[in-house]
Amino acid sequence: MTAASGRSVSTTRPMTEQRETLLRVRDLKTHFRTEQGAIRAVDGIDFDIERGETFGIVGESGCGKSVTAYSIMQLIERPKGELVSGSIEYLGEGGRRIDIAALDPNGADMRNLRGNEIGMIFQEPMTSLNPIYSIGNQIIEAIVLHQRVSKIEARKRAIELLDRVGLSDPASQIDDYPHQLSGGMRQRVMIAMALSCNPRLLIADEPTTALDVTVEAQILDLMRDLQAEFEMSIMLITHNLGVIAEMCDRVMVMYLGKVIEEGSVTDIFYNPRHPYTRGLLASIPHIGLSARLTPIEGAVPMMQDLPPGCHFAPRCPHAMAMCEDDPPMFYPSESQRASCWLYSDEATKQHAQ
Amino acid sequence: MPSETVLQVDGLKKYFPIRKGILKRTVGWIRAVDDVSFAVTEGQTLGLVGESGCGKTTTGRCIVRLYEPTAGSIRFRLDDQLEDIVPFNHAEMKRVRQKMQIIFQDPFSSLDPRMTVHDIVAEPLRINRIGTRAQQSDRVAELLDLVGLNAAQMSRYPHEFSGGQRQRIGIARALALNPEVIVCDEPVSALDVSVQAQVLNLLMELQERLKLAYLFIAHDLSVVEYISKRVVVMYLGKIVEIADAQDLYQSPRHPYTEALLGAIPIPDPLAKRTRKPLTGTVPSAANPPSGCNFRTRCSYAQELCAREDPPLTQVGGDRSVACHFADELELTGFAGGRSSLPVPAALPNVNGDSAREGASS
Ligand SMILES: Nc1ncnc2c1ncn2[C@@H]1O[C@H](COP(=O)(O)OP(=O)(O)OP(=O)(O)O)[C@@H](O)[C@H]1O
Ligand SMILES: Nc1ncnc2c1ncn2[C@@H]1O[C@H](COP(=O)(O)OP(=O)(O)OP(=O)(O)O)[C@@H](O)[C@H]1O
Ligand code: SF4
Ligand SMILES: [Mg+2]
Ligand SMILES: [Mg+2]
Repeated sequence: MTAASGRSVSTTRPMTEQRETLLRVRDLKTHFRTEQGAIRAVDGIDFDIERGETFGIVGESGCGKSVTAYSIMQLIERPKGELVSGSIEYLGEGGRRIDIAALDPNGADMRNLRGNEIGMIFQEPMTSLNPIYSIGNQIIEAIVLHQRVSKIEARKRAIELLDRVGLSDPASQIDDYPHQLSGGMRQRVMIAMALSCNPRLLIADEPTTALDVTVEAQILDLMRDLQAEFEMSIMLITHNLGVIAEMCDRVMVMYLGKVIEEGSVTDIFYNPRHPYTRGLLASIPHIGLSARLTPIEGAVPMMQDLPPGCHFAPRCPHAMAMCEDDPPMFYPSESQRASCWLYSDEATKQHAQ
Repeated sequence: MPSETVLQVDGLKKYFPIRKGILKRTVGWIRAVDDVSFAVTEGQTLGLVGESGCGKTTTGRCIVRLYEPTAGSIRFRLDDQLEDIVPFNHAEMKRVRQKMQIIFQDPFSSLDPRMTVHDIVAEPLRINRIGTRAQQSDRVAELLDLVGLNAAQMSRYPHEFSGGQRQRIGIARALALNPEVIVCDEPVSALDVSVQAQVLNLLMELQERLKLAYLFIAHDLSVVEYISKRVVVMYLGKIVEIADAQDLYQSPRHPYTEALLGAIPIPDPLAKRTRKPLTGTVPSAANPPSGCNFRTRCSYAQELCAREDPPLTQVGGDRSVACHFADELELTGFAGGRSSLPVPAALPNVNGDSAREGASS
């Protein structure tokens, strides 16, 4: 039996002596104004991404994963959406610390970051590849724009990249248009584009969700190889817990715009703390286990209509009187945090009695 | 008691024409389903898996006659006898539709937005002129209750419901005529994991109570293993393997099944993986390879595979495989299988005024 103890479990990757934080997000709030009212899509989240690690964000549809990514890239649809507060501190080349949240979304600094430091794979590849240009043109344009090399040189690099991401005949496929490629091939082109700037941070928003399992496995293997080769950090967004388990060093669980738990990947799978994380894990079928699933009751409420206090309380089997107040972050172990009253001193004391 | 077949499909083919030019001449055929045979047993679930475009939906739609098959027979149990429904006319199909229903992947587009939930669920009763209006309403209330929806919500419209609730509405409608077989085409693929689990459990409970048989189409191999007794694996319009779920996952006999199992992301960070990644992509169904369909991606392929199409052959017990070397190959099953889940540290047991302890189950 593999029951893990209550204390922290080491992450799968041995930690280097001094960890270097590449991205430090503090109290980030991104809200939208809609006809149905304000949407607090991301509502005061904190997290760090270390150099060279794969940091996973998991949660059900609409919990704010993509908005978190778009906020970091400063691609929030304005004026409808707004970074209401918080900081996004990025450790630039040469140790320069930049607060992305304070940059002009359309300014030169932000464009430079997007092109040269942070690459992104979008959830829907077809919306981010332009159907009227060949894939080569699109990659070449990105390279020329950001790296000041000649078109001929850029084309050579583009072919190298397409080869690296596993296109079988890059020298001719470079002139294909997006619709001529299969879903998996398009996703590889997206990755090639995101990598064209040698990013230090790759944001991958559901990079394999639309793909078949065998292609998904190829893409995940590819991302792992490229991470080692390019020494980059990956922020991997997915709702697939299998993908999280395979790829991530650390995992953050979101629910309705908030972080409800974070821990090492073994913490999350072997000793989840938050009732929501436990509910998610009990909801997925495990091959070989014949026991009935125990799903979380009810459904995710609408963002416009958030329950007071702990947003999870209406679905939580452990909800108590104190859950009517917003739970702060608690630290049940060194490597783990959970926003749940069960880990408060009061609750723990009652348990001890 | 011997298990009873409610649906027997033999040699099913569906070719779609490829048309070109202003005269729309047929220049070729997409072999979406190419000689498929299987049986669905009363009260059991037959899973149908395979990658996008392998012909799962086309198979399901041929069976409920939303598509006209190109060839083959679809025998359905009517009055204790299997009857081929392919030649059936409209009136005869009405009889079949009472006993065989379909539910679709997309709970958002499969329900008419202008109809109330009551009218959606009552529609099959109305079409078949079953009962008075009052009786129909009683039946709707009963059905909504059966799928875990509040009957008081009958007069609402689909957009007022969440994805999981909409899928329940679709299930209630499918149950209206007391069917024996339901073709489920990716019924949980569009749902969040917590809601997916609710709908899977609902389908299993209904099966036990109503002795339903499901043809359960999905691309998620973990979901299929959870719900199915037997599993069919398709590749490029053909069946490559068919076996009891447990045997198929533990000891696959077809190289494609092995590759699929090896690709499943395992929700266990400490699982040991033995992955032999598949290379390349699925060839076009308009121009499939000679011999074995899978040979262009198969790591065990030999010269014979390009020459001869391996027939689906029984390989002992109740399983069939379409591979020339099924008897010789030693293939690897799913590597992340578990006999139990890790037990997390106990939650602090707060007894104060905790009202809803243990509400889930
Ligand atoms: N441009 C926008 N205008 C209004 N609301 C928005 C906008 N973008 C996102 N939202 C809302 O913000 C919330 C979070 O959305 P987000 O796209 O981040 O979810 P997600 O976690 O990525 O979900 P999924 O798994 O479905 O991709 C949702 O309620 C969504 O409706
Ligand atoms: N109405 C149609 N006309 C022409 N070709 C079709 C039609 N429906 C399906 N096809 C083709 O038939 C093949 C099988 O498609 P089908 O939808 O049955 O696959 P599937 O296994 O259900 O895939 P998915 O997992 O993506 O739903 C594909 O090549 C598809 O493009
Ligand atoms: S804070 Fe309360 S309601 Fe929220 S998850 Fe924890 S126990 Fe459940
Ligand atoms: Mg998203
Ligand atoms: Mg389909």
